[in-house]
Amino acid sequence: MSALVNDARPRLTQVRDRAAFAPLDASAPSDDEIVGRLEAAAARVLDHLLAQRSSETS
Amino acid sequence: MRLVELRVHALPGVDEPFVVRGFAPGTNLVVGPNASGKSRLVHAVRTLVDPEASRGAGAHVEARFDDRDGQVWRATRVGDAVRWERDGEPADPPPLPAGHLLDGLFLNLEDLHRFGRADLRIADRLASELAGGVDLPRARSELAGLGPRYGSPLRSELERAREALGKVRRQRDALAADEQELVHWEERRGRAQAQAASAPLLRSALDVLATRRALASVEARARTYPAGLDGLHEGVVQDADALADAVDRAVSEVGRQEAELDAADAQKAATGLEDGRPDAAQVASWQAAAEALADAERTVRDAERHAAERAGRVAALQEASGPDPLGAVVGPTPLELDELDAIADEAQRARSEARVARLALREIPPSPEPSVDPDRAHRAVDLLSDWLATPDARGRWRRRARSVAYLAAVVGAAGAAWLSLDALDLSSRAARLLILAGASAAVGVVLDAGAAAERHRARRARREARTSFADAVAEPPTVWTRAAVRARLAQAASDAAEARHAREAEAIRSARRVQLHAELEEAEIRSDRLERQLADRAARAGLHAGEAGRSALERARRAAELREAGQSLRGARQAEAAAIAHLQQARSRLDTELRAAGLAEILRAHGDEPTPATVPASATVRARLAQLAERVRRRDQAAARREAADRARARAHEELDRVRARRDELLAAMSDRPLDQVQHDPADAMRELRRRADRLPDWRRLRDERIRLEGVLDHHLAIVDADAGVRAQVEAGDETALRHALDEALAAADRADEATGAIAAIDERLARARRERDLTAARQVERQAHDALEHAYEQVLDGEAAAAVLDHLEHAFRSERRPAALQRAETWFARFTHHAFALAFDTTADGAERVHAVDRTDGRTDGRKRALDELSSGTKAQLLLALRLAHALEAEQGGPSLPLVLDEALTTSDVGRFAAVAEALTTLTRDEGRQVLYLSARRDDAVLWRELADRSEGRIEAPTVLDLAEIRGRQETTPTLGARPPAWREPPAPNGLDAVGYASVLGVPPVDPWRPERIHPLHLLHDRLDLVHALVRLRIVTIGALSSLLADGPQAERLLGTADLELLGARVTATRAWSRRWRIGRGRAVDRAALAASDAVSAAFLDRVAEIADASSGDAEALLAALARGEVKRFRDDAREALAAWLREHGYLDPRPASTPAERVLAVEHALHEASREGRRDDRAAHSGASATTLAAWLESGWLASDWLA
Repeated sequence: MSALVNDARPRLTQVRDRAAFAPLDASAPSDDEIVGRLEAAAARVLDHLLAQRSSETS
Repeated sequence: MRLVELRVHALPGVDEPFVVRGFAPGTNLVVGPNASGKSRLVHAVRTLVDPEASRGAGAHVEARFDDRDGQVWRATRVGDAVRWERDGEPADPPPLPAGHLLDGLFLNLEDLHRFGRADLRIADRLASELAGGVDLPRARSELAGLGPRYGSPLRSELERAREALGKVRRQRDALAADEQELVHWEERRGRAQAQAASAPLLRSALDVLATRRALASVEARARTYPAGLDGLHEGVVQDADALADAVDRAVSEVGRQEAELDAADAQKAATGLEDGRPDAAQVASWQAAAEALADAERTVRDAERHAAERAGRVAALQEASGPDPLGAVVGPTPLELDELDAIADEAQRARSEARVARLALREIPPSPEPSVDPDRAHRAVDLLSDWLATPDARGRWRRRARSVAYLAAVVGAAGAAWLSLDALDLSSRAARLLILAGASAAVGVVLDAGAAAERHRARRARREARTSFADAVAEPPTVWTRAAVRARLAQAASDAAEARHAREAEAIRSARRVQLHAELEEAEIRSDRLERQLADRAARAGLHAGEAGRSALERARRAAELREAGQSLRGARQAEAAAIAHLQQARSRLDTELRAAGLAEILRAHGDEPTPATVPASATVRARLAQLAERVRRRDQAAARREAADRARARAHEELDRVRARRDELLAAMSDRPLDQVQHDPADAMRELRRRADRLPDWRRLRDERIRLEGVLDHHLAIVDADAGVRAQVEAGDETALRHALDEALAAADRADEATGAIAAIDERLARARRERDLTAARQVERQAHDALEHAYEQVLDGEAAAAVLDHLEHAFRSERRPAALQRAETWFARFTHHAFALAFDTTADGAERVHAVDRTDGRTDGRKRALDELSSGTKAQLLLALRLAHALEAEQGGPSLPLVLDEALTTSDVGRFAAVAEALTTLTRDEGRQVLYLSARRDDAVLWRELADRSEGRIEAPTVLDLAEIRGRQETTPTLGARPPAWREPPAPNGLDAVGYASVLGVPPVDPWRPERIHPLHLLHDRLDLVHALVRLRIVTIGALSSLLADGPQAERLLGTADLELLGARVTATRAWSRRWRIGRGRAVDRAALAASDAVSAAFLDRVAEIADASSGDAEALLAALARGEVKRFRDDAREALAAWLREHGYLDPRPASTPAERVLAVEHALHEASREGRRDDRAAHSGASATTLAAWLESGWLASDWLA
């Protein structure tokens, strides 16, 4: 999980630095926030892949 | 499994069965022209290994295979069922891949040329396997597919909302400042309004002063006018003039009436009847008596004329009736006379009828003497008809012949009977014949006898007819032949008809004579009877017997009329006497009246002729009385006229007195003169009045102005009285001080208006701000935009987190799983390219971009990654073949290896690809032991394949060739493939020829600088004709094909050797540089597509213009010059100019000056130099003895001296 967090941290921080979101003046995400987002994303990916499998088998 | 033999009994598209034997274990090249059954052969193989193929098509195919274990398999498909035998025994089919997985084993040209749908399915399957069986790109697209610019529109919206909010806030701040200023504005307005309030008072004070000055001026001018103008009114002069005119008219009327009185008196005196006698009624009475006299005179004249007419009538009757007609007192009555007339008329008609009958009898012609006796004519006709009815001579001869035949039959029968009697007795058969012959003879004799009798009767009848005709006293025919007799018969018939008509006409005339005789007799009898009756009636009427005729009756009628006329004359004379008596009476009565009235004196007094002693004729009396009546009327008229004139004169005097008094009064009043003076001299008074009237308008204006000024003065004084100080200044006449005070008050009013406007504007802005609540709305918009952007930010963060998860997931899959098919494809591709390339598969890409080739010869450690489109056609074909094969092998799943079938998969126009695939197939057959079936319509594919095998040093195996047309016993048709040249023939070697000669032998086309890819290699290899020969044997006849081969470096090396590759590459580059420089100033080559795109050349001219463009090698200037010369008939100048403009605009006409040969040499030199630097070799190696000048000269000569090439 730490490797995943380390990979995800710069990607999520770079989002804050995008010109489109500059007006929000957001702060860099904390590790806890990153972990929370990764957990939620993993759940979504799992659901999506399971849905793919179920649609192929049906 | 290797195919050994194939039998096709029935298959859709196969008209007759055929068998193909002799398939070799390695590569088999099956050649045959189109429609020879190649595709059917492929289809037949597929129907055996794929039971789903051609289902329901009625296929009947057999094949024999052998496998690596030496077992013989036989497959038979009848209908949709496939039966397998192994070593002659029925067996289960070998494990074959599913039909949809066989695409890798059945390939065609397109399959090895581009990344198709089958390749896409394979790549998708590989990607799915690499991703652990899930679609990671799809998951990435759906969960993390937000791009790097996601949210930018929302950011723009937020910035716009914030800008709008700032603007609203600034407006609010400005409004608050204005609100604070409002109190100051109101104070300023109050002060200014107070100061401005004195302005009306001051303006009135100044107006008082000005009005007083104006009033003084008016009064001074009024004093110059005479007194008494108040009494004048507007139309006084007109009134005075009207009264003067009325006076004149009254004086004139008095005079006129007095003249009328005089005229009436004169008229009365002229009538001579001043004493009043007689009056009009008396004259009218006399006139009535005169009219009665005239009536009596007319009555007398009528009675006299009537008596004269009667007397004339009597005299005329007496003259017509002879002496003493009036003596016949007794005579027949008119009724008796009418009856006598009727009888006389009837007797006359009877005599007329008798006369008509006698005339008709005389007109009937006498009967002519008949020329022919009708009876004899009819007799002649009958006789001639009888003669013709008898049989003629020819019939006689025929009858005689028939008689002879009868006799011959009889004689024959007798002869037979005679002969039979000698041989037989009578009871035998001959006896019966003899009896029969006898009977026949008897019948013949009888018949002939009857005929002879008939002939005799006919001859006798004709004789009798001729004798009778001679007795009939008729002219006989000239000869007694049938023709002459028929002519005579026609004449005799005509005579008979004529005689019959004459007899009928005579009968009609006879009947008419009898009828007329009867009518004549009846008329004469009736005439006699009426004559007697007339005489009898005349006697009874008293006429003499001699008077019973028409004249006697007339005389009797006139005598009767004379008697009636005499009676009428007597009556007329009695009436005349009565009328004369009445006239005398009337005349005496009138005379009495006239005399009693003294008419004679009246007439005499007037100068008329003296009246006779007795009354004259009524006409004279009436005329004189009419004259008298007229004089009486004129006398009475003059009296009435005088009376009227007298009354009118009195009225005129009254009117004159009245209007004269009114005029004098008016003039006295208006001219301010005494009345007596006016009566004495009214003209002077009138002149004075006119003078006053002329000044009256001006005097009135002055009077009105004075009244108005007095009103104004009173108004302003009332205002000024409110302020004692101002009133004092007014009274003091201090106008300067008053005007200064007024200016100050007006300035204060302007200030008050300005303050009022500013206050209203601030109030309006405040009200609008309270009404619109724009600040709240702008804040809300800004909040929504901020929230939306924050939402997008959250989405992107979640997407990036999902992308991170998916990246980890994919990495884990790729490191832990590796599909066997992909490994096989990598292996085969490496083998096919002799490890010059490696296969790379990218699961993150889509479609053809998933597959790449890594160039291991690039020098870099990881190699250079090339996409499919970047590869040479040969390497691309090898990659696609590897991909298909790997997929097919994966589908076989360890079962038997089926033959690989390629249907027209190669093309000799791309030798590099051809060689690469041939080499790959050799690798496949050697390493895998797989059988290859390659089908082609061109025999020269076998030649090229063998050529490649000879030059490949064992890398390419020569195929086993099977000629399908020969196998099926058909004549080979011409192989065709689009615009491909005729069948390939081995090109000749140079054999000591120079470049020009060798070009002529090879048929090399001239250099076309506009199309460098079509330049023949010979034009750049004059010094290497051996290399040209090698290229031509490999079908490389254009720079384009050569470039394609050179792009596939390893293949080019294998085919051409390493030594010449760099030379060829450098010269191809130099040739292109020469072409580019040559085209400077000449523009692009014009072709048919360009002409069509220009829209300047219509369809009718396109073919012809394109021909000229092609003939001039696409030179736009040459084309336009040809059009200007009129080489295309009816091509208009405006179209040519439009074409020139289009060509100039699109670069077909280059305005730059054309390059010189020296410039092109420099371009070639530069290109060769660059090529040598890239090849890291020295220029000499690249040039190989040919300088840039030489190479350019070859190309120039190939372009200029095209004659020797032709």
